[in-house]
Formats: sequence, C-alpha cells, structure tokens
Amino acid sequence: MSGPGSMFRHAMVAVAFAIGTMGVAAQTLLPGEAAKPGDRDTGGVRPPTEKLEHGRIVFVQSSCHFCHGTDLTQAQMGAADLMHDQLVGMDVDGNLIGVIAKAGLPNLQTSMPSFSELTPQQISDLAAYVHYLRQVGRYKEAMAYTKPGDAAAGKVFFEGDGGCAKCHSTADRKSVAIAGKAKMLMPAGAVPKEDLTPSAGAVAHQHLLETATVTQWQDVATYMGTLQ
Amino acid sequence: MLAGIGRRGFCKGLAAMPLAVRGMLADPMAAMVPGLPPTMGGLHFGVETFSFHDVQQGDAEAVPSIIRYMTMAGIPECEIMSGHIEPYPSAMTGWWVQTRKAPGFAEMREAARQWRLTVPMDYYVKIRKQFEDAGLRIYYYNINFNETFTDAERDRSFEAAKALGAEAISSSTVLSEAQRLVPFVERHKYHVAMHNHNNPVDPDQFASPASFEKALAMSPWFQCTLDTGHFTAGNNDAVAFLKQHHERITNVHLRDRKRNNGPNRPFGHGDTPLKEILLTIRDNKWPVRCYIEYEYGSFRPSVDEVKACMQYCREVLA
Ligand code: HEC
Ligand code: HEC
Repeated sequence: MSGPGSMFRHAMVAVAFAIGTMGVAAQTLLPGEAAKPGDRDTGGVRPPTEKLEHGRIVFVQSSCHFCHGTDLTQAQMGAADLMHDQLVGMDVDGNLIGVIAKAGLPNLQTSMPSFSELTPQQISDLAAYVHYLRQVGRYKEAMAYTKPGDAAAGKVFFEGDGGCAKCHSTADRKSVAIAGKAKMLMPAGAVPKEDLTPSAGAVAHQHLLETATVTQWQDVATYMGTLQ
Repeated sequence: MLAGIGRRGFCKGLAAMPLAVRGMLADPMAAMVPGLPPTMGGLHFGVETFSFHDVQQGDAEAVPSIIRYMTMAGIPECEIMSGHIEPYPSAMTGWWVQTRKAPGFAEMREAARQWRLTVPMDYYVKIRKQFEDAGLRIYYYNINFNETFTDAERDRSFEAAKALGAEAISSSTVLSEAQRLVPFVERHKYHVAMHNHNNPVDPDQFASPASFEKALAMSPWFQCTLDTGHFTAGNNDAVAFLKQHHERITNVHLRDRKRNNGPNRPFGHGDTPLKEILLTIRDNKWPVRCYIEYEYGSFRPSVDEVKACMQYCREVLA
C-alpha cells in the first residue's frame, strides 16, 4: 500500500470497520449469543425473519446446538465446527446440510444421530439458519481481524478465486473503494434494518463471506484501497 | 444396596411425615439430609450431570449449580462428570477422539494430567462434603478412561472416585482400555461400569450385548452403565439385556432415542422402552439405579427438562 490515496482508503476501512462494529454493538446480542448461561440450552436470541425463526426451532429441537454449539463454534462431543467447516460453506439451501442431517454419521466414534424425519421445508429453514449463524460469526471474525493485508494477494484474489472481477470491473472501482469491507460483508439481519431481502451483490458477498478466509478479506480490502 | 419392596412400603407409610423426618428415617445416608426422598416409586433415581447443559466444563461454579439444579429437580444422587469438577483442560482427556486433533491438544492434555497427579485428595473430599451438606450424594464418578491416560493417572482416578464418596466409576471407554484397567480394578477393589454408545462398526466400542459381555468376562469388578437410549438407537433390546445381565448392571441411563441411530426425543416420544425398563426393574426388585440423561433439544432450561423426565418416570411408576 502506498500514496496518499491509500492512506485515505486505510482511514475509510477503519471508519467502515468502526461502523460495522457499532452496528453489532447496537443490537447488544447477536443471534447465537447467550444473554445468560441458561440461554445456551435454548438456542440464543430470536433471529430477524420468520424463515430463520423456523430454522432456529428445527435447530434447537433437533439438539444440533448441544453438539455444534448455539453459535456453531462451541463444538462439543467432537462435532464439526460448522462456522469454519468447508462443506457448510458449499451448501445451497440445504442440499448438503440436509443430506448429512437426514443420514446422520452413525459410524463415528460419537455418532451424529440421523434426523431422518426432517421434511424438505424443515431442511430448507434449518440450512438458512445455519448459514445465517455462520455469516454472523464470520462477519464478527472478519471485523475483529486487524493485521495489515497484502494488496498483491488481494489483487490475485479479486481477479481469481474471489470472483469479484466477474461483477466488478476496475472502472467500477469507485463503488468498490468507497464501501469497504464492513459494508460489503454485512450479513442480512446482523444489524436491524427494514428490508432483509439481500441484493444480488449481497447474495454473492455473503456466499464469499462463508467461503473466503479472514486474511483473504483483509487482502482484498487492502487491494481495494490501492484502487483509489 | 437398600432398594427393595420392604423399603418401598416403608417409604409409602412415611408419606404423611414432615420431609425432614422422613428423609432421616428412610436412609442412613439421609441422616445429614435436609429432606429429598431417596427413592421414587421404589427406584433410586439419579442424574448424569451432563444433563445440565448450561454448566460449562471447567466452570468454577459448576458444583454449586449442579447442587442447585439437583435440589430443584428433587434428585438425590448423581453421576458427576469429571469435566464438571476439573479445570478446563479436562475436556481434552475424555471420550471424544476428535478433541485429540484440536490445536494445543498435547499441552492441554499434559496440563490436565499434571493437575490430576498433583491436586490434593482433599479437593475431592470438599466436593463430596458440598453435596452431602445439601443432602445429596455423588454415587458415581464419570471419568472416561482411554489410551491417553498414564498408569499414574488411572490410579489417581480411582483415588478421586473414592474421595468423592462414589460407589463406582462409570466410564465411556473401549474394550482395549478395559483390558488395561483389569489390574487397576483388582488392586483398588473398585467397580468400573462400562457405558455404551451405538457405533455399529468399531469392534472396540461398547454398543452391542456382545461388547459388554467381553468386558464382563475380563473382571468381576467390571459392571455396566447401560445407556438405554444409545442401546435402542443401535437397534438393541434394552429390556432383554437387563433381564440377562441385571446383576452386573449398576445403573441405567434413561433417555429416549429413536431406533436406527435416531435422535434423542422427549421421554415417551422415542423408541426406548422406558416404561418397560422402569417397571421391569421395579417389579423384579433389582437394585439397578435409574439415571436421567437429558439430551433432546428444547427451548426450556435443562433443569426444567430434567424435571419433565422425572415426571414421566413418576407417572410410569404411579
Ligand atoms: C450428538 C452430537 C451431534 C448432534 C446432535 C448433531 N451433530 Fe452434526 N456432527 C456431529 C459430529 C460428531 C460430526 C462429525 C465431526 C467430524 O467428523 O469431525 C458432525 C458433522 C456435521 C456436519 C458435517 C460437517 C462435515 O464437513 O462433514 C454437518 C453439516 C452437521 N453435523 C450438521 C448438524 C445439524 C444441522 C444438526 C442438527 C439437525 C446436527 N449436526 C446435530 C455431531 C452431532
Ligand atoms: C455476483 C456479482 C458480484 C460478485 C461476485 C461480487 N460483487 Fe461486489 N457487488 C455486487 C453488486 C451488484 C454490488 C452493488 C450493491 C449491491 O447490490 O449490494 C456490489 C457492491 C460491492 C461493494 C460496495 C458495497 C456497498 O454496499 O456499497 C463492494 C466494496 C464490493 N461489492 C466488493 C466486492 C468484492 C471485494 C468482491 C470479491 C471478493 C465482490 N464484491 C464480489 C456484485 C458482486
């Protein structure tokens, strides 16, 4: 990173970061977080949409949280960390999560039960809720990550695996540059807002939020800064 | 053990007495007990402390929380999970092999070992006393032996169980570890009860009747903690196993799972023949203790669900 523009950009990232964090703080509790210890039993706070609330009910009644944690990370009994697990990042509307939930993992040392009675609707809601918890958690992680990024690596990611270049040209760089990481990565419903239907961009970004690493996000944000 | 018809009738006759008096007469243990009846419907009920899901492993407040919950649920005895009375690295010592892949596993495992080898026995005695002062009892120490234990640590686990006042160790373990434990149970003259899961493929695991039988043949000091839910989920017949092996079954874990590796359900909604299990134990006057293990999902706090499990059993036995 070099030049006055990048200094400015750096400041913008910092501001966006602060806004993002404030947004999180304003809603005192994020879904999956527990107000008091007993809440760990009961699946954390209510999420913002009906579909997600249905998903939370399936999640809690199936006791996914006892093994995978209310916020997906307090993995117990050797269960996978669904916030960082790759397979969950690749799932679309329960096409993978549903298969695993229905079949279970009976041959493990501590088995995951087979939730064979789940309906397609329950699986869709459950998967939506798992993705939602995952995005909220990963968003918090991305925002908490402050090590300086690598602009060159960010460029490679922007043009390659990140797929950013498929939708954003460098001529488009203004919108890219001004928004910053926090805005781009904000999961639907992580902060209270009226309209929770994600835009086409948000859908793409949220998928990326579930698949890219915190370092990759930092690198791409740093690269965006150099585009100024 | 004190279970049996005479005692049950005796308790019934006492129903009208004030709680404190009843408690004192009904059980020698209860001499110091404020008042929980030691049996329900003629059976000795307890709780696996794992049921209290909001008590975190390594939580300094775990013991007072467990005591409060047991009192709220009216359950006089427990099988206490080692993770509830040991500092956090204890979580790395247990049953779940996946934890052995966790970052920092080796250091944490060693920390847990050092703690176990150096903690004064008085630590456990004090925990025992906390329970006794509340009129409760630790009946089993649940420590999950495995190949990461050193011999010194195995010895120490028996000492800890005795200091807690437990009658036996209950252990989620495997047959190869049971083999290693034979000289320890013989030397300590102490029971270890094997707790089953429902893995259908690993021949080292406790899941089928045959796997239990192998351990029972290794030493007379070995017993079973028959987890009736896992047993059912593994498509085994818990009642038949009880009928055959009740003399070597020290306690059952009561939970209701669906067959075919199905999920945990509220009591009465799964495939575990809970009703038949309870009535068979009662009608045969077997001294098999009945321990609630709550693990289905719910929006209510775990202590409320443990109470609901107890209520189900109460109605079955009424
Ligand atoms: C009794 C504990 C338990 C329960 C309850 C449970 N799981 Fe699991 N789950 C596991 C274990 C153990 C694994 C495997 C972890 C491993 O292989 O490292 C797993 C793995 C998974 C995976 C696959 C991860 C991968 O990449 O292979 C998904 C997805 C998953 N669980 C979702 C769920 C959902 C959704 C629920 C509730 C419907 C649920 N689980 C309930 C224990 C559980
Ligand atoms: C599928 C197309 C698509 C992909 C892939 C994509 N974006 Fe976007 N992005 C959009 C659209 C469309 C918008 C406009 C705002 C919106 O719709 O949310 C946008 C907006 C943005 C903004 C401005 C955010 C705002 O709310 O003003 C930033 C910054 C951004 N994208 C960065 C990236 C980066 C970095 C990547 C790659 C890691 C990426 N985008 C990948 C479509 C995409």
